[in-house]
Amino acid sequence: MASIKRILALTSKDLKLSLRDKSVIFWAIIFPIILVLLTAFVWVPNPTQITLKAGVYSADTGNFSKIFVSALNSSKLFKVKEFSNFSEMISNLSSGYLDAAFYIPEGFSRNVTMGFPTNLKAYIFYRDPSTASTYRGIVEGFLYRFTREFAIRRAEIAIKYMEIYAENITASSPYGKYFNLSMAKCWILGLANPINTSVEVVKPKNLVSRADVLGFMVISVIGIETLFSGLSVGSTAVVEEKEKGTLHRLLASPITPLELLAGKTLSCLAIITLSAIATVLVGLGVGARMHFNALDPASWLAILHLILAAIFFIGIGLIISIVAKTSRTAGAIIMAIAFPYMFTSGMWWPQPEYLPEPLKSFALVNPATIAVDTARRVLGYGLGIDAILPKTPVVIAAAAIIFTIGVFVYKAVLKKVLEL
Amino acid sequence: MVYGLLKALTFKDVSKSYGDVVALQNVSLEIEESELFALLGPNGAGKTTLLKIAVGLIQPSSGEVRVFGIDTLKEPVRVKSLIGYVPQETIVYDELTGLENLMFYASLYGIPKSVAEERIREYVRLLGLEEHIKRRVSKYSGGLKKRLSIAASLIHDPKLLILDEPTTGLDPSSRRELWKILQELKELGKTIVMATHYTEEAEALADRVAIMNEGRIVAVGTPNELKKRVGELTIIEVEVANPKPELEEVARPYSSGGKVLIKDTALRMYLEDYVTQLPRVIEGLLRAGVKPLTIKVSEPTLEDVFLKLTGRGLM
Repeated sequence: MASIKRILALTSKDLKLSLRDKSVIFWAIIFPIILVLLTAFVWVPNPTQITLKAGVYSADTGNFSKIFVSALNSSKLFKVKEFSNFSEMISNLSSGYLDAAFYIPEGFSRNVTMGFPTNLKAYIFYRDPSTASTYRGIVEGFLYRFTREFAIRRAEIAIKYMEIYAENITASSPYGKYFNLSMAKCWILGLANPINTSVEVVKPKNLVSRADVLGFMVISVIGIETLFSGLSVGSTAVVEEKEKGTLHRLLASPITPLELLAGKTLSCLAIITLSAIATVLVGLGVGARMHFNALDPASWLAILHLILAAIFFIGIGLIISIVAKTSRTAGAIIMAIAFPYMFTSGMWWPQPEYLPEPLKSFALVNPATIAVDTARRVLGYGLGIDAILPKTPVVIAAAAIIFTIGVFVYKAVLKKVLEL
Repeated sequence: MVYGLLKALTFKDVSKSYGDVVALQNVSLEIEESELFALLGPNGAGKTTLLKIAVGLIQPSSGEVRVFGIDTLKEPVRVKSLIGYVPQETIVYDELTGLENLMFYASLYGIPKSVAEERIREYVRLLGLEEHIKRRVSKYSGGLKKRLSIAASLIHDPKLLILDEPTTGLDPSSRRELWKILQELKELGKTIVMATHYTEEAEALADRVAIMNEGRIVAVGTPNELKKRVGELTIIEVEVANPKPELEEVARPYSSGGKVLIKDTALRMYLEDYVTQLPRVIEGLLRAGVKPLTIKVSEPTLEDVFLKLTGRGLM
């Protein structure tokens, strides 16, 4: 009981010190909030309709070229500017003032009216490979739909004439008894539109909206916080008190080295909890959906996984403390490790989808990534206990092993510091 | 446990080595209850190591340490509750207020809040911290931080207060204030053990002094007893106008045992028959181009004792 009181006294003291330290406030509260906001507004923005700035130069004066321009405008895919000079339009396109351009040649309307083949040329601006590909898709998609629509209209006109003359055809023709008007209509429409195609987007059952993606990323941010806070607390567990001059006095009190470490671990978890609350609140504010259910054991297992991830990183931090003689050195080492780790371990982006092959293999066996990934699949995607329970023994074992090694290192470092 | 019947602190054949480096060698010492005891020695003499062993921060390579009869190795937690330890560094957190610091240290000893508040009031008054106690420690001067550190070490009402170089880094005024506080604590019945390399501090405060050098205790006694070890020698102090690097070499042949102390512009020498010796000293100095400004016969100090016992100065 006395031991618990001492640990809580240390936790409370460390928490007070942390909350009065601007750098801790930045890394524990501001940094995760920035990550959530960047996620919401930059990396996972609201889906918006793309509108291309399009130029049109028509060498044709007929009605069908006007119909084409009108179709461009009404599609809402293009904001159209008409040019009276072809060279001026191409110049605007190559300077990047236009995203696409359309050239309607002379005789376009006449050929369409006569039912002859005709030409129409489109140009797109190559801003970069990705946008060029998008622009090309939009322009080709529009032209495909426009052409098909045109073909169907032509077919319908042909069918109308066929209906008018059908009676005469059947009466006068020697093969009239074989003629079937309905079949002829279908055949003509089939010529205009040989295959009716459709594309449907299928999303996973539990990943149906941007809100879920944001919820997923909010848990990733909490995972990142376990990485930074855990490494920081572990690597400075001894040197911080040494630099403050308080280490000797603390250990001259009834506090044991393990109680000191327990107090620091608890204060680290408390800071991560505060950070997680701030992160979740901001996440909810920008539209994230969280799948926490107090009656669902999977939700509690997910929280346990995040705690174990923090303990795992505290253990790694304790091991780092062998080489971190000052808190400044510790800070530099943490930055050198944590930032690359954040992006390459799969803790930030989900590993199977985004990481290249060697990193993906590492992420799949990395206990910290497993801990965070399973937690976010439960709390972010709303997956059930089956998605997390099989991984729990691995996460517990890894956290216990690394933390135990860390404790041995901590004791050795402490002994060395006390004897100085 | 009746503490009055026991020694406050006992070291028996305590040694400590770090690999090949011997920090302490067979140190034996007994410190009485309610005594103000000083460990006097230069940096590296082993004072801090000895105090850390007493507090239980490090373990001796061999030997035994008892605090009020309790073995520090066998019952470290019990011993720690009897000791208030003030290391060289200030032990308080800059980001907390003085009051928060004291409440934190009280909570480490499981002291109930009401008792802690009562003690804080008492020690804050004794240490003159009333006006500062609610301010953040980052705003404190060095002297105030040291006083708060002492308050933090007294919060569990220890019988034995151990201070390591308590006045190092303090200005003369803060140092005098701290001396006064230590004397008041002694009057309250506390046993005080402090390490220092200031001879005037040991002389002014200590009931008894142990002189340490190179990990050994070379002498123990009251300041007067120790000073008697200088013997029948007359100590003269010569203030010179132009201290030269070779001053020590010039003075050495005239001083008993060849022992000479130089501090800034003052030369301290030990003469067996100063009536006949002094004119020769002056003549020798003048011949070497050193100009004496004042000459006075001086009382022996603990530094003289240290020089006699170890053959070198404290600083």
